[in-house]
Amino acid sequence: MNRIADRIVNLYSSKNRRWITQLLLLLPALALMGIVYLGGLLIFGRYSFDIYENGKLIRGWEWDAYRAFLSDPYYWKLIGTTFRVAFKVTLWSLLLAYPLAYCIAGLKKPGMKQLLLLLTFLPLLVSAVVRSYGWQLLLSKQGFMNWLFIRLGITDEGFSMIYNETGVVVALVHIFLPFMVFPILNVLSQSDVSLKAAAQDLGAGSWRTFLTITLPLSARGIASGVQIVFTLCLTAFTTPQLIGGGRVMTLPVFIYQRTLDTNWPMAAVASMFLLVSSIIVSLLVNKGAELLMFRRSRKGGQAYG
Amino acid sequence: MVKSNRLTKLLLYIFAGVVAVYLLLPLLMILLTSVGSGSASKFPPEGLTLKWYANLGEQTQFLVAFKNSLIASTGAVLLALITGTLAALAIVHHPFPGAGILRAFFVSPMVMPKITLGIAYLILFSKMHIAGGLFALILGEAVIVLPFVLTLVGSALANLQPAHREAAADLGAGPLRIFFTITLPQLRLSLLLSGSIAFVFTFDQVEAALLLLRQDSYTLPIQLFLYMEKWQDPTIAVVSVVLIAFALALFMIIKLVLRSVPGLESLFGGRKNKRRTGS
Repeated sequence: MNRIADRIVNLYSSKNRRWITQLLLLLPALALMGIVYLGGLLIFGRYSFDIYENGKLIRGWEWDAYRAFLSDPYYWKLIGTTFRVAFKVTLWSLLLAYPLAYCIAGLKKPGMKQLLLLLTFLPLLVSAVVRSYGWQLLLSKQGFMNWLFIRLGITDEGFSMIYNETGVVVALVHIFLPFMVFPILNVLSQSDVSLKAAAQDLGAGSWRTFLTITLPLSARGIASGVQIVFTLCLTAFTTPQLIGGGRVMTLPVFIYQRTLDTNWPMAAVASMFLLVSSIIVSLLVNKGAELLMFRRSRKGGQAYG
Repeated sequence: MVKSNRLTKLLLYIFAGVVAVYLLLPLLMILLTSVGSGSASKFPPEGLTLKWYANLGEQTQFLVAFKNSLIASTGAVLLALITGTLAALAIVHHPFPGAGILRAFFVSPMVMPKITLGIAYLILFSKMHIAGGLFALILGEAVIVLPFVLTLVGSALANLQPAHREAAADLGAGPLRIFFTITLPQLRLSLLLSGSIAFVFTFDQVEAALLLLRQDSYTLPIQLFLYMEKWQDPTIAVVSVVLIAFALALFMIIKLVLRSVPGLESLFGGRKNKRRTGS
């Protein structure tokens, strides 16, 4: 007995101590991530090789679900909708976020600045379900937006803006706008004021200063904003489900519905596609921003050097 | 020149104002609907009433759901804070071969589509026979918020002065004592920050919980989500108003706590001042 105890004590000698401490520190996180995360994903991923027939799952190692997903035009339409919505939302968020961030960064009164910052980030604290509900109220046939449009004489009967792509895009822009404002604001408030002043001293007008100094300097912020918003949109579920009302079919909504009717192979394959495409988009956006900035600096060097 | 400058500035302010209205409009509309007397979501409302608020007391399912949300979020945040801080210590303070890969693995739930995670949890926890309850949700949500803790606490750890720890070690303090008297107090801000971000995030989680939970363990967003899919009455507006108020209160509390922690005030003031002069 004593010998075993001695051995255990010896094991925890100064030579091994670091490694054992290390392992003990990592153990809780490893257990959680290994069992719940990796375990869950592996078991779920395994289902992508099963066959789903007449409402029943048949165990196997087949590529049937993958083949069906990639060959059927229905699924490509689904992928198209998902990417189109994400693209529209990203574009609109950028168009709204950049001037807003520029305005916040340029404000000198701390009171106004804090108010605008609060207004921008307040929606983040409110649940996506609640915000989607707000947009349902605004966009419905008898809602505020149609009331406004009829009053302004733009339409007589009102538009149908809910349960279609327009409604989903409008609501998603609202939900993801802060994620676009924040990285842009970050680079804009960090960028060197003296560069702007120097450009103006050299006689550049405000537009020229903006186009040649401010905009290129904020490329990094735009890239990370686009990256965050686009990938969040690809995987967004709550808003497309609630505002789309089942009529705007994006990949996450599709995955949810396949799970409800226990078609786990198809849900798993679609999930895999979603994950891989959001990783590829992230990498592409990063690469694109790098190329853009590199080319600019090189061109600048040639022109002025 | 100066004139056109002023005009662009004015246009910019107007634009920012319009975007601010766009951001606030849904919340205002919810507020209006919650006091409207019509039962349908029609604009303009026919009259004003507080009867929906009075009704809220009878909707016990929302109260239960709120309690479930509090339990699940608190549990998940605590679990993520403990496991995340320990792992960050191992990775940042005593790097080892492969630490970068491990870190990337721990942060990877951030890019994982949440609906995928939700279904993976459903299948895994069903096999473990714990699906449907809050315990399973706590485990699942902890994975989702672990990246916040690991990133924020990890960068705080990397910025700490090693001299403080070395001095304590020279004076004879053991590793545990060093952790509790030197490292942990210095991590207060990032623990608080990552904890509150994680709390707000888990409190709103729909995807991970939607399929996993049973009726008696629904969290508030789930209860709202399912209620919204079936009915469309102002009860949802009232619950939403209460939720918005809760979010605001939480925001204020976090702000107050951050202000009252000694040593943090200067940090926040410093950052604000820098921004002011920088603009």
